[in-house]
Amino acid sequence: MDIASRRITFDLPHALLVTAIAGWCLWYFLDARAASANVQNLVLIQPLAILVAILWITILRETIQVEPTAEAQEQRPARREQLDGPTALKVFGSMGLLGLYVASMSAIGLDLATFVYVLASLFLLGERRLAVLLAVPVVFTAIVVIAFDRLLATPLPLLLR
Amino acid sequence: MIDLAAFNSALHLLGSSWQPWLVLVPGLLIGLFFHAVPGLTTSMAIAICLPIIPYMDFLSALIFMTSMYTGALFGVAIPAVLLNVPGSASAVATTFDGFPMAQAGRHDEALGYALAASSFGQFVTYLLLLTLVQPIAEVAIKLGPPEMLIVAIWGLTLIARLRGRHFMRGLLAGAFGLLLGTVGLSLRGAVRGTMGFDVLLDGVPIVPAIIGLFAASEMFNLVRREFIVSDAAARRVRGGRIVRGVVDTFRYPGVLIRGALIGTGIGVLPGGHAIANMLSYSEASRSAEDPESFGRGDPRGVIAAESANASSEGGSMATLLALGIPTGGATAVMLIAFDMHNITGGPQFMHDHKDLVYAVILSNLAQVVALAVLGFGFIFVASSIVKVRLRTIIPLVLSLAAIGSYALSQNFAGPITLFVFSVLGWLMQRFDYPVAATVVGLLLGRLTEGALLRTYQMSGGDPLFLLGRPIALGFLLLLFLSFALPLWRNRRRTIRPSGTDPAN
Repeated sequence: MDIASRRITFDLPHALLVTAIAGWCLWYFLDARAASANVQNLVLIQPLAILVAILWITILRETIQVEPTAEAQEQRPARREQLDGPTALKVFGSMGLLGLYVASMSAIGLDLATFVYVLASLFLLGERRLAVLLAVPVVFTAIVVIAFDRLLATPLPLLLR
Repeated sequence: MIDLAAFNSALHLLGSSWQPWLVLVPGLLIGLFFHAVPGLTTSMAIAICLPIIPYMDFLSALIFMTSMYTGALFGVAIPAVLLNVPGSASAVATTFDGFPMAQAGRHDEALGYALAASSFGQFVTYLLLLTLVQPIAEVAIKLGPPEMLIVAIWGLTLIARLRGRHFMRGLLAGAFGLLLGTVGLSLRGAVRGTMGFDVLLDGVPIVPAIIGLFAASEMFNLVRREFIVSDAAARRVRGGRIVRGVVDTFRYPGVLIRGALIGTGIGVLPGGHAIANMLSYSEASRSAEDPESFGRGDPRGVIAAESANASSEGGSMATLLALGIPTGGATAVMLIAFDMHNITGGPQFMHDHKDLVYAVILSNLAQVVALAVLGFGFIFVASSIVKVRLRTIIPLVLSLAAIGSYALSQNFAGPITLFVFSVLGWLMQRFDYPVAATVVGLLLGRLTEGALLRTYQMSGGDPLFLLGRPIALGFLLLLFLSFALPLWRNRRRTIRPSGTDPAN
């Protein structure tokens, strides 16, 4: 947005993150207060909640910047790295795969889930050699299952038992 | 200076069983390996190994973790020298002269210098710690709840300040961590912030949360980085020249000892490990007769950076053991090993278990010797490790983290927590919030709340009560300064019209 010779920029993603963090903290304070308003219960939480509220407003102000449009634009400090299409796919794809992996563990067993997850992740991150795509997940799953299930005697929910 | 009874008991602890020795070499190798791969960090290595900690006795667990730390502190020099990639903030100064040396074909000498300086630095810092444990324990035991409270908050603000540019974001990250750390049943039995999930009654599952914040989130960052390893890593390594580097290191005793002392002193402070190497480097170049040779492949630069980096371990272990307060990522993760064995770190621990503390220190002195030998051999394999593709490692580390989280909690709350905190950690890093502050807050949440409550009860709500506690007042002054200085500096910067300040 340009007003007179100044440009107003608003860093929406950052504003959302800081609002989410502060929002959780304030919700937590209200939840704790509802549980017990006794000083012993709120001795740390209440002052911290007040601090968080102040920080939230201060940081939110930082997300709105008013700058002259012309040459000053070029002198702007380096912003965070932009995610281009392929990188964004890798980053968010990795997150999505981890989420699916965690969610599917109980349904399909930790061994199958691990095999599929490692295979899919390798493919997503650009591995195309068939030998690697098959060998790494198989060997890794075998080692992990043997190490945790047999050596450390930690019962894992497995498909093949 | 040394409590002889406890010292003898430590020797007995280490001599009567082979178990504590069994974990030393694997720990060192994991540390070396992790840091030789550019992008992987010490806290990540220790975090991923957490699920096997409950299977060890407490002493072995501590030795395992400190060995990883020891190995990592040298391992970090390998990509710094060969690729000009500092694996973490603690190796930044190593690249200044290490990489120019590598460019001039003196990479194996540079690694020799780094290995010798790293081993020497750690040896000195643990010798210092050995003699100072007794007096430190005596001072620490005098600290009551008010002092511990102020130290905890002070430590947290120092870590929050590490990413200097955004003090406010650091504070928010720390406060967020402290609040997260108090979720669950309160000291009075009130249920807070569980959203109806019974698994949260004991608090946020701390280990999966920390693995998520430290290790998994960083993996999402690494997917975009394909380190270009051209001929730098393919260089041949010659044993004779490494030995020459090792021997020549001792031609600069002043640089070595100054580095070790700076590292130990600064390492005591939260966040100190990241600063020690830079401070030692600039001190070495400032006091040199020919400062212009620094940055052009001067071995003294490598020695100064590495001896300070390595010796910061002793300093941060002193703070961890004496106060139960972590100074950074690696010691934060170690504090969890205390938790897993139902041991509360801090003054009482140091006072009651001096034998354990001595045993850890003695084992670290042995680790230095093992590092000198293993590190030498490792340099030969290192040049092939730096070529390992991150895209193969990322899914394996994430999967290991998820399975480890499951194994620890024995239910799916572990992996779900890992996932939530890994995304959160990635977002926080992206917007310049120091994740370490949240982690330390998370760990100190309960301690801080307890100390604050006891202080409140002792004082009856009267702030003048602090006047009778000079140590608390001193700490309060330090706390005030660490709050006020960055704010004052920021203010000065904004008041000054741009263009008049040459730094702008």
